[in-house]
Amino acid sequence: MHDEMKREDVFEQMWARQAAALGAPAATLPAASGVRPIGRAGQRVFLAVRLLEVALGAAVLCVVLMALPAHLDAPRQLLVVAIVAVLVAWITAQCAVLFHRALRVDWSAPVVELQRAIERLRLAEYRAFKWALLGGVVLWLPLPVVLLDALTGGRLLERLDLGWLAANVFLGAALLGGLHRWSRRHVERAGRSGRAERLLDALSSRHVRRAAERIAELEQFAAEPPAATSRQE
Amino acid sequence: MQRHGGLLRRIAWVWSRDDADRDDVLQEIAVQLWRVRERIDPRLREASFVARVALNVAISFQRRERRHRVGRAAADVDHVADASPCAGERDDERARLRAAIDSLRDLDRALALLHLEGHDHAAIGEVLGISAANVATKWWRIKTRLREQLVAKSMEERRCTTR
Repeated sequence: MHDEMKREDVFEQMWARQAAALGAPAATLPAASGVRPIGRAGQRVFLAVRLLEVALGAAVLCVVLMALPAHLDAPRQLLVVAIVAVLVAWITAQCAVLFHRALRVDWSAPVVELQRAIERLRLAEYRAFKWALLGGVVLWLPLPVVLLDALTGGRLLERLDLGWLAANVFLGAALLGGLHRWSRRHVERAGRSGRAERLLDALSSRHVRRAAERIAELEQFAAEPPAATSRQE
Repeated sequence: MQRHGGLLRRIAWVWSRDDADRDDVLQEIAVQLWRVRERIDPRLREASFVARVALNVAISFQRRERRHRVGRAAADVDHVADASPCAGERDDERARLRAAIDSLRDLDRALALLHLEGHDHAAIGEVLGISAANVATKWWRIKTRLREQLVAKSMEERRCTTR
């Protein structure tokens, strides 16, 4: 018992011996000079990009909605425009949610709470990115057609064979399935660039899984221990 | 910042891989402390509030950096020292401390650090957002784990010296 207590103390003694050296001012504290510290760009860039996405999404949605009244008499064309509008609205809403959540991050909150908020933010970001990416594969043809339709008033959708349009959408969906399978097979390979990594992680859902695991870990940490196993000092 | 400089530097050391990282963590901590200075919770002690912000920044920084480091080796002298179990000659106390700390998960590491910094269970609970009873249970588990590690490490070293 005495031996165990001695061993327990070893770590604390090691820390006590090193603490002074580790706390020594090898690096100058930014505020020590009295100069207002300048933040790293990360958070501001994140907010600026989200804001830009929301603005762009809202603009595209407005244009798509402008095309809607022109197709009220043709149900099949109306369906295409409505699907495009719903997808654009959904992606824009995701970006708006991300922007709102990022603005509300409180760094003075308890550690578990803040880490949970950040992981939820990441989860929402990965999901939005993934579905924007996958939705883009399906929307790549209908969206430009609907946009051109609304902007030029040329009624392009009418001239397109809807069967051909549907075939392209199916091709996109098939491509999407293929990409998803391919990404899951190659996601563990190392040595890729940051962008390729991000793309692959999004397609394979690895990011989403990781964030979900982290949230589960935080929940487990915060969970109260069962009374029977609780040990006091 | 000045009053809690030692604590902030130790937090930065625990959650960084090299000197450049350490400076970045300190810079980010300073920025966030500056931003939230108006929001100091009167129920919290100043040290607890500072520790809260610093840990939040340091943990988030390390997780972000870890994601960026995937695929490239981190050049860290402290970690190189732990590569071989028989590297007794160059393995100093700080490297052993680093190895023990690194073996803990983020939040366990935060809890252990606060304990080593002399915070009581109630204060640690306030910083982390869990109950004092939970802190006590977790600290007991962490201590057990660290103890086992240190025993294993010293046995390895003994084996190396008798060879």
